[in-house]
Amino acid sequence: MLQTSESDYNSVLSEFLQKQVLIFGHDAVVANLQDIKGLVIDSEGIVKKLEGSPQQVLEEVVKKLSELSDYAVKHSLDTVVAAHADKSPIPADVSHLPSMEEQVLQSIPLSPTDKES
Amino acid sequence: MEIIVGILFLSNFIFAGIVIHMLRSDDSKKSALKAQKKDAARKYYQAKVLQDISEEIGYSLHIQTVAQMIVNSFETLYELTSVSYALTQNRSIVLKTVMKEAVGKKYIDKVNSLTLNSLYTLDESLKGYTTSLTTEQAKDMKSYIALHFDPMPESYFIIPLIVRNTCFGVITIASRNKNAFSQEDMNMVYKVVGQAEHTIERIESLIQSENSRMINLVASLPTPAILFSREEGRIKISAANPIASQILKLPPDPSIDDIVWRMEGNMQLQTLIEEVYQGNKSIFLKEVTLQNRWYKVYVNPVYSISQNEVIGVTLFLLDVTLEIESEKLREKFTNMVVHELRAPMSSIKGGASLLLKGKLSDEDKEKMLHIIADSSERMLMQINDLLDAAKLEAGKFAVAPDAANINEIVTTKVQSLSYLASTKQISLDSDIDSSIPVFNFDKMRIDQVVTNLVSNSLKFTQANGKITIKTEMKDKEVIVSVIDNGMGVPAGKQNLLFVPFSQMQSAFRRDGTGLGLYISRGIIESHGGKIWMKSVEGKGTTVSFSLPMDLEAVVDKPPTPIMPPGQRVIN
Repeated sequence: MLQTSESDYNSVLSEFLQKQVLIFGHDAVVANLQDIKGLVIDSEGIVKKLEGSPQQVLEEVVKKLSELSDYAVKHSLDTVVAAHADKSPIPADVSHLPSMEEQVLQSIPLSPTDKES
Repeated sequence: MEIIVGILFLSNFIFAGIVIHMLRSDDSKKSALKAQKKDAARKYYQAKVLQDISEEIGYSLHIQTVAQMIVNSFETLYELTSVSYALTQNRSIVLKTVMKEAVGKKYIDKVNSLTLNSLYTLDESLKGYTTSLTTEQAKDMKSYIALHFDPMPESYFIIPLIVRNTCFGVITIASRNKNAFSQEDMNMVYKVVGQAEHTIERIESLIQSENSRMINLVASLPTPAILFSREEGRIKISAANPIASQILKLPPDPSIDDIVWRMEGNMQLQTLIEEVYQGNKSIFLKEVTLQNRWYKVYVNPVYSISQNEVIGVTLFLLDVTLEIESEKLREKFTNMVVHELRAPMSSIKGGASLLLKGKLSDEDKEKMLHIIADSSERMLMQINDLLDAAKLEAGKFAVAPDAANINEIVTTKVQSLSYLASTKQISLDSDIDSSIPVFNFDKMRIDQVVTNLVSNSLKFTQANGKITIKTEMKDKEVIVSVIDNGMGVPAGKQNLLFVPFSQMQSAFRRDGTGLGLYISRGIIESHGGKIWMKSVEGKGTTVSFSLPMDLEAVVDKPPTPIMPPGQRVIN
């Protein structure tokens, strides 16, 4: 399990947004994230300004972009979080804590099909 | 005066204010109306695209068709420069760009690169796929060549195409103009595509359910059947039921070639199935012999009621062994009847001609008259047999039971046939159980049965042989047996003797229609009795029948119709 910190979220958010720009294109990502206060990204999805709680910002980003393609967002978030977890050693004494991946995934609203099942 | 001027000035000011307010209000109404119109157009577009998708998605869900349809709908909606779609198919990526405006190579390269990068980000494994690139000019493409510049995609957005958590492609909408697409327009496209994905998933699920129903249906058919369907443009076997696998000796995962080879043919089955798919009609393929049975092979289309189109093709092997054998038997029977009736008819005709000439002596005249009488009798018997058999087949044969003495029939029969037996040097006698009482049965028909059994024994017993007619009583049944020490019947042929025209299949062919035992069986079974045979080849034959003695109920009833042997009347 991964001990989460603001820098972790920053890093995950940046990597995640870069992937979203590649997947959906800059116009779609920027247009959909313009209402999120405290977040400014450039044309490649690199975070230029981030204010407030990175965790909350990430949750809001995921929520907004999931409206474009639920699967694409979940899949790329999984990839980013998995890659991020590989880079950070897992301290033995915090292994009982929920991972950042779990926290983020729990915050993603269920799609209509998930709800049905 | 000043007051009046002041009032006029104030009233003008108020009037101007009212006019300005009204004009402003009119503008805001116009802009609200414009927004409503745009919103209605969006909703109309959304409904139209979804309707088109529902109507156009076929059985095999041609992804390229769906993508092309979505792309076409965008072309009419936006002021865009190009629409591209990249689709994964058979370990390759097909990337197509449709240009609405003339652009240079740099633009197309950039759009292609953006499209492929999106696809690779969604699924890294696609990087190993081969990619084919095509470009196409839209029919109404605007030309900007004269403008002497090479535009780049300044605005673009990409829509992933995902069904059942699998990415099968992306669509890129791009424009050479900056800020060409509003958030609302972009989000509506994502929404439409998302709904299209759900539609595809629902249709896929419906198709899967139809497919599994179809496979279960084929598997449970008692007739050999194989189900084919088209997957990724190729005809494949979806299911072969157990009986088809057994008869065609198919391997566990059969190919179309396996089926062709097993059906002893070199036909182009794949092409024929394709024809059935396209032509929407059934085809009779051929007649094959498999494991000593005849089959007619038919290829039929399978319709989907929900989609009103051909969704598969079945190959049926219809077992026609019985029909073919029956046809052969009928053919032989016709030949036999012609032959059998022609012989006595020739005798009658010849005898009558000689008599008409009037040159015969009295002795010869008498001989001729006897020949004519015997031949007529023989013909009559054969015709009666045929009529009885026909009645049995039609279920119109009836018996009329009445009180009668079985021993009397046997004794009379021995007396009447003794002369004929003696001419063949065969002894004919009876062994009767005198305790058998009078009981109800159809005397004439049982007499016919006994005559038939003794006639058979006389035909198949050699000189110095012996025939005995025995009667006995067991429980509430009378058993009559005709026992001979003739040539006997091979074990494999014994049961066949009770089916119509069986004599023709026998190596022991003698005069007669071969209907005697069939009719006898019908008569006995109509009395509620049984008929059976015990025979040892070279040693002799015993044919027995039983008659139940409790027939009071039958006496009070009208004649009972007889069904063909083995069948019964269903009330």
